[in-house]
Amino acid sequence: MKDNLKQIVKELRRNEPELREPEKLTEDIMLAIQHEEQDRSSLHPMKSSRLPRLILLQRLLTAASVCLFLIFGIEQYMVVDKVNQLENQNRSVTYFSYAQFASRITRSGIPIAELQKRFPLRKKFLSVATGLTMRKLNINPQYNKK
Amino acid sequence: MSNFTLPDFYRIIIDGQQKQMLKNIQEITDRVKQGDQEAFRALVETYQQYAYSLAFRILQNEEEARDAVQESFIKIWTKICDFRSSQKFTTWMYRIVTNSALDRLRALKRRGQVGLDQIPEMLVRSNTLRPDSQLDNKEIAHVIRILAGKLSEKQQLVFILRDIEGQTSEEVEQILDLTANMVKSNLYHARNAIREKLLTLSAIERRTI
Repeated sequence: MKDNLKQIVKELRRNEPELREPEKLTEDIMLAIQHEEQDRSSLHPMKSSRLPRLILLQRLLTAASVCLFLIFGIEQYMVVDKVNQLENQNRSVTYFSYAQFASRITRSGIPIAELQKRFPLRKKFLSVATGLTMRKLNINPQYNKK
Repeated sequence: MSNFTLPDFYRIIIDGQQKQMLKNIQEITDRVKQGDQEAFRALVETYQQYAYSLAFRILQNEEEARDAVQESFIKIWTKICDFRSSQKFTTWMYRIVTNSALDRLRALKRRGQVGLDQIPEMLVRSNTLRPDSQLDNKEIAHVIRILAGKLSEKQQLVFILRDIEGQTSEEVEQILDLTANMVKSNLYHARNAIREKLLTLSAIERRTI
């Protein structure tokens, strides 16, 4: 079988496929090459005339992208700033509500020292709230003690 | 008298011719690189038959092979600057032709146009096994299709380039961009598959007799 394969391979190698009308193929190839050259030469001047425009466009796009980055940056800063402001507002509102709560306590007549004894964990809160309330309501801190 | 034998004399002549040919090819490719169309025509006239043989053996179709050759020479014209004079021109050209033919073969397979006009295997076999038989293009195509049609793409290409086209293993490596081991193993599997095919064919033939 080895010889058989060798024989067939030998026959195939010896029998080269015949190219019909080789001159026609040569001419076809040469024509295609000429078309290729024409296309290339017609594209070339267009390319060179387009080049400054392309450079300008490229620079404009670069500038536009820088501007966009700036706008995004500023916008981001504004958003962060607003968030901060809101947070501050919220904090003050909370303090104010603490103060209202504390003022109610003070109006009820329970001394601060008593409250501090009853709610030892809230000591800090109570002192802050009371101080704030008193400052806001312009109350003398010695009032309850009297 | 010198000890020159006749084979030595022929070898010297052949070596001289080859060197002259290589020099000519280098001159031609140098001129083509400068855009000389007449030099390119000479290149086409010299190598189109080789390119066609390879393309036909891969595609097994005359029209497709012609188109693949045309496409390959257009690529050669546009990419001639990539060709280095240290390379062998035929190897570089074969690489381009193989790629073009392979693209076409894949496109044909996608369209399902391969193997539609197959003739009975026995008919081909009885024609080809006779030594010194003259095969026309159709018969060559059918023999290749029957023997190598079921092989994988790589095995088929290695078999065609190495065994039928007679390229060296190093050239096949360069053309197909494969390692030496890959070429060896693909060739081994291809030959085994073809031997098995021949065994099956001879068994069928014996049964019919």
